Amino acid sequence: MAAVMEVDNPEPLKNGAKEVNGEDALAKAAAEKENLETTTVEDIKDFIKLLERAVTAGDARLVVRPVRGLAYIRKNLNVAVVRRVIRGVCINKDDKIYFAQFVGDLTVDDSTMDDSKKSPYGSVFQKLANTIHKQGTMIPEVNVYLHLLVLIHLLDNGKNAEALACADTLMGKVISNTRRTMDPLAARVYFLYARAYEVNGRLSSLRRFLLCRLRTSTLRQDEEGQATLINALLRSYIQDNLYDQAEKLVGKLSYPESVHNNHLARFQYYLGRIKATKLDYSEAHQHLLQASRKVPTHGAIGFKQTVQKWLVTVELLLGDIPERSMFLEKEYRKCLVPYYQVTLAIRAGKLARFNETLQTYTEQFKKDETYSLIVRLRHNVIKTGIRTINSAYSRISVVDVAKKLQLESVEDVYFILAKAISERAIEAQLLADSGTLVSKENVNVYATKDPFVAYDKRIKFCLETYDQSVKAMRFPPKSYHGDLETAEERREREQQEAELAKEIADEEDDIL
Amino acid sequence: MSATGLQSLMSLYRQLTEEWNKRPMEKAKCESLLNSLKVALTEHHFIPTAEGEASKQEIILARDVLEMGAQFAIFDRDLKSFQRHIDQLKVYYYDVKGGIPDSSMMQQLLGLYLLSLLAENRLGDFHSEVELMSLDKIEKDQYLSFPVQLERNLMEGSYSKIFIAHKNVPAPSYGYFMELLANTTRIEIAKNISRACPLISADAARKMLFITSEPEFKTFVDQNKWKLAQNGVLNFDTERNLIQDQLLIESDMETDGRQITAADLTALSYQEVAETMLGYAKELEKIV
Repeated sequence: MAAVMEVDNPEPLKNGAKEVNGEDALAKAAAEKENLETTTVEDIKDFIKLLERAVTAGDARLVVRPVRGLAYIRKNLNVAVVRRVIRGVCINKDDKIYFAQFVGDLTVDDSTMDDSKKSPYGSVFQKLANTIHKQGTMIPEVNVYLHLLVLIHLLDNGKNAEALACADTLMGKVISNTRRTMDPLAARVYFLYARAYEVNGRLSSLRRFLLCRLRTSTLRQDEEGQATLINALLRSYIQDNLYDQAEKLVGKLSYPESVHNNHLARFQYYLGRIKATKLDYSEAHQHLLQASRKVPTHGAIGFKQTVQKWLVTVELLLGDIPERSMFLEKEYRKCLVPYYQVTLAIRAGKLARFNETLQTYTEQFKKDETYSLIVRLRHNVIKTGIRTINSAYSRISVVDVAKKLQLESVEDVYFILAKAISERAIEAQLLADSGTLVSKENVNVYATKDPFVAYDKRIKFCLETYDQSVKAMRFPPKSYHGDLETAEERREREQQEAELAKEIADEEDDIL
Repeated sequence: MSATGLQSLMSLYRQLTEEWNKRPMEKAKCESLLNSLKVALTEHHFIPTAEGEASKQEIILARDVLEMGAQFAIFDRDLKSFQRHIDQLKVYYYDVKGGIPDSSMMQQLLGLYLLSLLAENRLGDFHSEVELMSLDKIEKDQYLSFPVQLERNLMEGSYSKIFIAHKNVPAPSYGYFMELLANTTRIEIAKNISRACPLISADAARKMLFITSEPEFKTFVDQNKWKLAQNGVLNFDTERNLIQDQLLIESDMETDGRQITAADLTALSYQEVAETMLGYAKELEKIV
């Protein structure tokens, strides 16, 4: 995941600034930065308002938007933004003192803000600050939201030890609250909490706690929370190679289906890895394929690359040769080089070449954690060799097969061939007494059940998708006897929808 | 734990080691000593829990007793009991690190455990177990590299190497599981032959199965319900055998009392097509 986090962190301000000369450029960059900060602060303010509305209405669904919005706020989050928000909305002194230990002094104003801009902000913030405080204390949801911003800021700036302390108190706040409106926030907190422990190398100590929270969120039917916790647990198991425990966990729970694709992608990836280790390659292949499909189209390159590496490996283990075009795609060309070489060796059916490749890239495979799978590929090299021979010769003596495969023991070749036939890797018969391999005529697939089954599967999938999309539609209550909307209302609604669409697109960029 | 309790445990353990090292040893006596030791251990903190810390001495003692139990299980040829002991021991090997030195028996017992998984054909478990060990460790250690190498041979289909390996096991205790493994491999070979060879002479089949004596081969043939023709040739319906697994799964299918043939599984039945089509029609109705 580390790779994912890194690629998610573009620095939007550097682009093009160099070409314009001297002070002009500096001034322009500063203004741009200022601008960006202001819009970010505005966004955060909007989200806080929304949180307040959600709490008053008791509608947990309204909380989802501010939480998802964190993804693109994160890109522009810096210490100045965090300070401005906290200074603006915190009335309670204790809150201020607490946050100050992470983001620095809050009493002094930023020098970047001149007086003309300060005043209107102050009053707007004042109003907001008043609405989100009930009898002098901040609404817990808003408090947690601010805390989340601070934690994200700490993690992104590599302040690991502080992040850990920050995450601990944050978790305390979340646990003590049992309102439904807290659930979407809690899911995010679980993720960052686990992340904070991971960067400090202490993820494994968290398992008991995470399992406990998983139980609670299952009882509360908090799907986002469940999804996040399951992923965190699987991650911790796989990190320590505890595939048995991971498999048992997966076997005993049902994963919430309606959560965000990013959660699903991760879950499918972990499942794929577990199944691959357990030699269930066709299952593993399906899961990894799902993972690669659920992944956002833009960004998350690190995750995509990792999934692709596993996908190629599992495909090879299944005895398939991945398509060449995949190795040539821009995103994967570089990182898949070792896997490309392995594929070539397998395609050629040359054991010597395979061993050579394995030796050259051992370190790379170990780093990718695919080494133990790659080692298992050895017998696939032989299998492809047999396949080629079988399709080229209708009848060949076993001794010749041994020679072609460069295997020393002819005796073993009998067994290898018998095994290949038994596993249906080749369609042939072995005449043991005369020592010959006789291949069968190619069977006509279209005369069998296979095409029927394949079509059936696809049709079922389409129908299922349709069913789900019908179920996912929502209608506002009692809207059917309301008046038709006026032109102005429509404009407003369309604008809102466009905004929402933009948010979703932005968020797709960011898998975190 | 009180000091006296630990003392009596230690003396029991010493008694057991003495008994274990006697040749020939008394099996019944060993077993009863071992059982009373295990019972005694449950009264103490022999596994560190959240409530109380076990002392190093206690942990080492508990581990030694369990190792003894595992070895005894092999001697007793009790596979299940052996795997139970190892499951308990794994806690000490992987999770309890608290400053105690690695046991000298650790690699050997883990290697044996891997071999027992292989012998039972539990390959998925075998691999998740291997994942727990570091690759360098496996390559350097003869006890661990032995089963790992065997697994590679098995996957490849180089079965003769399994039977050769029988002769150079890293420790005598590996013998029992090697026998089990040989049997598993034989069953595997038999399956492959019945699927790949339409006809094979009895002699060639016997050699492929690594069975040396004629009577042994005879019982093997009978066990598998193979039919040996008059001219000493074995005939197999390879087509049917190839889909044997599927046949077993689908044997509950209604077949009006007749046997399922290979054709049944590959051909389409009218009923099936009709049912599916009606299903589609129903779904389409819902949409329009």
